[in-house]
Amino acid sequence: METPAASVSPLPTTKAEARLVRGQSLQGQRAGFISRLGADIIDVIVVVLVEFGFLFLAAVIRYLFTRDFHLFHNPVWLTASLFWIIAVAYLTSGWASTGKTLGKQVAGVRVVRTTGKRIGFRTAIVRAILYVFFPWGLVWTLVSRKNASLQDLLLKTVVLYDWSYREVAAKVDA
Amino acid sequence: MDHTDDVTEPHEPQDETASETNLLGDAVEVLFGLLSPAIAAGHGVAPTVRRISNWGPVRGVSGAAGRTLEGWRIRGKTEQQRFLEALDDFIRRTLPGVIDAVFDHIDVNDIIGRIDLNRVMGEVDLNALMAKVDLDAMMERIDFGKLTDRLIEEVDLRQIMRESSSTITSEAVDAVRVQGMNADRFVDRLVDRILFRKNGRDLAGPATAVSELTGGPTTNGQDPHPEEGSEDGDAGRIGVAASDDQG
Repeated sequence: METPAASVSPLPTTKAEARLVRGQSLQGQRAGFISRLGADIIDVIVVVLVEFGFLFLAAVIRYLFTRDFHLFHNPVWLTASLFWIIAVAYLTSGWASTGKTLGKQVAGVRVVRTTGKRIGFRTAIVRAILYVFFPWGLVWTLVSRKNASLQDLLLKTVVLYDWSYREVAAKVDA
Repeated sequence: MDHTDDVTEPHEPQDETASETNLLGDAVEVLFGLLSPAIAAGHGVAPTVRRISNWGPVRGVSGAAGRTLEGWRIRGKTEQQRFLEALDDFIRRTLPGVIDAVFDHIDVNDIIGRIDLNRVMGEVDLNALMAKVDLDAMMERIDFGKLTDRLIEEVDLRQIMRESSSTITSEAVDAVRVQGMNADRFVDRLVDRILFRKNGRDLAGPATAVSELTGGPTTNGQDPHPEEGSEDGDAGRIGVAASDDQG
C-alpha cells in the first residue's frame, strides 16, 4: 500500500535516479522509527557540540579571571541542566520555524500538525520538553499503526518524509 | 720532434675554457700560452743539461755540495725539535702555577653573586616587548578579505564548493534518506508481523502536507502523487485521531 506511485514513474536509469524516485514516492508519508531515531541522534550530537562550545567559552572566561582552566570539572547538575536547556531551545527553534532541526534535515523528515500545518511555538516547546525528559516516547513509533510517538499522540503532531520536495523534483527534471 | 707535440698540448684546453668565460682559467691558459716557448726551449735544452750534469767533474762538485746541504738540513731539524720540546716543557711547568695565581685573585662565586639575574630579567621586559609588536596593526595591514577573495578567485573555490555541496546533497544525503526509508518500512513490517497485524500500517500523512509536498510547480505530469495524495490524505485525516494508535 505504500508505494503505488513508484511503478508509474519513468524507469530510473541510474542508482541515484532510482533513489530519487523511491524518495519521491514516499514524500508526505509518515516517517518510521529508524529515520526519526537517526535524526534524533544527529540532533543529540549537535546539542552536545553546542554545550561543549558553551563550556569551553565559560572555561576561557573563568580562566581570564581566576587563571585556572578546567573544562570538565563542572557539577553534574550544571552539565545536565545545560544540556536540557540547549536541547529544548534547539529543538523548539527548529520545529517552530520550519519543522526541521539539523538532524531532521539530514534524515529528510519534518514535524507538522495532524492537520498538515506547521506546529506553533507553544506546541514546539512542549514537544521539546517532553522529548528531552522522556525520549523513550519515540519507541512507541515502532508499535503505533501510524508511526506516532507518545509525544505525537499527546500533541497531535506527525513526522513526515519531507525532502524539500521542489529541489528533488527539479533534480529529477534535470 | 716530440717537443712540438708537448708544446701544443697546453694549448688544447684553451679552446674549451674560452667558451666558459672563466677569467682565472683564461689567465692560466694565457700564461701557458706565453710560457710555451720557454717550455719548448726547456725541453730542447734538457738533454744537454742532463748530459752536462752527468759529466764526471760536474757530478763530483754537485755531489759534495749536496752532502754539505744535507748535513745542515739535518742539524736544523734537530735544533727545531729541541726548541719545540723545550717550549713544551716550559709551558707545562709554568702554566698551572699561572692559572692558580690568577684564580687566587679572582673569586668566581663573588662574580656570580654580583650578577643579579632577577634584575637582568627585569630589564628585559617581555610584556613591553610584546606590546611593541602591534599585532592589530599587522593584522590590519593584511587584508584578509581581499586575500580570501583572491584565493577563491585563483582556485575557483566557489565552483568547487557549489559542485561539492550539490553533490553531497544529491548523492550522499539522498542515499542516506532512502536507506532510512527502507529501514523504516522493514522495521514496520517486522513489528507488524510480530504483533500478528493483518492490515499493516496507515502511513499516509495529512492531506494538506502531502499536496504541498507533492504538488510543487515542477512535479506536475511526472509525479502521480497529487490525486493519490489527496486520497491518502483523506484516509490520513480520518485516521489521525490519537485513539487509533492505542489499538
